[in-house]
Amino acid sequence: MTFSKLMVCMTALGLVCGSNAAHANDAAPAGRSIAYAINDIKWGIYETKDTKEECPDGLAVMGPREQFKALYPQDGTKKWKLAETWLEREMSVWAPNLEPDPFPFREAGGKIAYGLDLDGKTKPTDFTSPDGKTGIDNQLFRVIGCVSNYRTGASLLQFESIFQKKMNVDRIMIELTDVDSLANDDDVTITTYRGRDSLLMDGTGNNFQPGGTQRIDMRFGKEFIFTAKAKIVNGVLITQPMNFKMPHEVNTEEAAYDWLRDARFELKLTPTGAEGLIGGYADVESFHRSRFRTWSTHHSSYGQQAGGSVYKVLRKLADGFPDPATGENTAISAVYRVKMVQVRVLRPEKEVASTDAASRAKQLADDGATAK
Amino acid sequence: MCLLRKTLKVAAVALMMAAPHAHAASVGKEDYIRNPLPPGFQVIGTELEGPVFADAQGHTLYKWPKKALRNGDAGELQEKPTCDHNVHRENAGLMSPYPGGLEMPEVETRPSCAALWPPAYATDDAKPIDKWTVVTRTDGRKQWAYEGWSLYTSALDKRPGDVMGATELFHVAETGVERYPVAPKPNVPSQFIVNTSMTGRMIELRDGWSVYSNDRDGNNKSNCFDACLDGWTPVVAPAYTRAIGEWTTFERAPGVQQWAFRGKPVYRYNNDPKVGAQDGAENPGWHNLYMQKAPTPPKDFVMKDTMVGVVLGDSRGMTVYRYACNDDALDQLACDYPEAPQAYRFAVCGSGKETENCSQIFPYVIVSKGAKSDNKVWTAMYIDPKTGKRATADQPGALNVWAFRGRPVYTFAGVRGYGDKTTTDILAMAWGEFDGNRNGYRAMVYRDLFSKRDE
Repeated sequence: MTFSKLMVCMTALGLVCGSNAAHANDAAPAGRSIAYAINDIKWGIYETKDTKEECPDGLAVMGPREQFKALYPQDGTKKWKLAETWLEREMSVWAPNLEPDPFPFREAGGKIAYGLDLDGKTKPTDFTSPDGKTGIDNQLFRVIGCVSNYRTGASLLQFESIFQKKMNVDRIMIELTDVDSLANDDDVTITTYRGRDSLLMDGTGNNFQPGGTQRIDMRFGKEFIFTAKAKIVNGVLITQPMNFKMPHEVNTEEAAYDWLRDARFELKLTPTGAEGLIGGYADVESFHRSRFRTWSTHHSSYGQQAGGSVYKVLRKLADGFPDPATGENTAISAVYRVKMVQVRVLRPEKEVASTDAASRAKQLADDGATAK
Repeated sequence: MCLLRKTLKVAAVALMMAAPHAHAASVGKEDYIRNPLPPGFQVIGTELEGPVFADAQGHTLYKWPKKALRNGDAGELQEKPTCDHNVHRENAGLMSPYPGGLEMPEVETRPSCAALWPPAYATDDAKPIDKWTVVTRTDGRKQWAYEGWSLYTSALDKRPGDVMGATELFHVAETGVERYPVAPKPNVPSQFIVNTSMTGRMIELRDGWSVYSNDRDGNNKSNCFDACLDGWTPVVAPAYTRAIGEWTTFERAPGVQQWAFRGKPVYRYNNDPKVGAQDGAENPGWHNLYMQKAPTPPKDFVMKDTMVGVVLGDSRGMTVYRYACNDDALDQLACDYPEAPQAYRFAVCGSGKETENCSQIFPYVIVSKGAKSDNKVWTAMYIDPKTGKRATADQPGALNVWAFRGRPVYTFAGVRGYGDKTTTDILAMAWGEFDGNRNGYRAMVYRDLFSKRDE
């Protein structure tokens, strides 16, 4: 038993009396566990009102439409072929390369960015957080910080936000176990799951209510289950590095996800919700796939985000997880800003019929398909 | 009118096939409402789409209803056929964000709309009957229409029962303005509809909710009471309903009639989260209901779980993809089959810049030795992997590959180490323009548990 757990036990027995004991968060949650589902998640983009601080040259202007117009002028001087124009542009999205980009790309800069110190170092490329912490690793901010599609009010952000809230395929939750106090506990366990149910909302449809139930998706959501050790310090959850996958279904049936490697949660916990940051190294290919390869050039055009151009900068600024063969970094430091609402986890009585091979084979055969 | 309804089992398509097959028992089972047909037309049973209208030679009939795209409309209004012999040499700019006026790929050999979709011509003395009418084309010739929609056959349909031209499957807003097979109404009570799916002709409630049957029930007898009713709601029939075709009612409680299909009592699942959800079938002993099951994939394929539901895998369990493509000319021709220009498909996999050819990124699913299909939906074909076009068996380098509805299927090997590596990977689920629906690859999902119907 750790010291803090011993203290909690003593507190429960009335052996220790302190000011913290009266704090609501200091009590152990029922069953020594508590779970939260994400109801709002977005990449951490530090925005100033006039963009001058982070984007001194302004926001990106060369989106897909603008690039097409520049490359293939529609002034009647040349008869263009679809294969050498449209399809060439599509190829730049679905099979991007690292050749020099003929179009200027406006990277975000400045000194301030949201994020976490992922590597324990303070480097010239690091930022300072809005609350003054140094060594902040968030190179993804440089890539997308001046692309309007990722900024407040953008269409992409709206799509992501709406679908994240409404679509169960995107329902990610965390469960904290071995929790003796939501205020301080130096030994808890965090597990991420995909839930199967809608979030509980109030009558306005705008506010999420705690206490809703979420069934764990143990059949189709297995790849979203990760676990790590964590601690709670003054009401803030701090996890050890872990994998974190977030489904990214901005449209139907995309099967895309963002993958943060060495992800760390830093969340302010209350009995009804959690809020804070999830930092880590975003897998470059997963990021590009989620926002370009699985979607449409039409939607990318809304916010001047050209998939081929973004990919080149992603690869250039990637700062983590080098490929063992080539040495090139495959992931880029990044952070999510996230809000969660407390939920009650419903575990399957058994890991659903699908884990029973014979039962599943019969079920699928009955439904017109052979089963493995 | 119900008294006038007469039903007919679809003529067994097995007669048209080379050999009897296990699955063939399902084809032709679907019951439909028989209404008068013009001379020379017929209803034939098909493996995926159920009963469809066909001409005297057994060619499936199609329609092309008008639909709005991002930058305008295409397709036909009722009574106004536009699919003609004009070859559209330029794109129309209907699909954002690119402009029109670009020369189409392989324009020298591009067929006209009417060459690919031959009109169902009517003789000058043809007489309208029931929902069948005669419309006049712009060239003055007469053409048959059904419910006002001008009718066509498809040059891709070679044999009676083929529905290679178009399908009810896969339609979403971004696919372009596609054609649909034209079919008689299923003979189901007015509370129900029939939806074409990868697993079969699925019965649903009229508002789209799934319905189920239970193994524990008897013939026209429910055993779902008490606690069972916490999860399942019997689909009750109106008081004065009478048996319709394969549908009967029985009294499950005093004064309460429940529908049964082929003797199996019908239910809704209380925990289905949204319209179209099929979560109920995840419970042992409970099944979705089908007018007829879809053909089974050959033995070279398996079913597997992924993050979106049950998906087709090859013999190794790797996710299998189909290719979707519809072009941007005014006549909206499909470009998803081997005879069509392959430039679209090559574009979304690098046009040979990443690897020698597209088939290294999206390898074809090869027919294993001795493997056979027992249906017409899944077939083997020879393909030249460098051109993506059909090949002959003796052509050097030709691959014998599996095809679904005459279109090859693929796995995703990827590039630079980025591709499907495990059996749960589905990295190219939507690989291409507009979620892969307009020009791209789509995983072959058999049980979609997460799509956004009623999102």
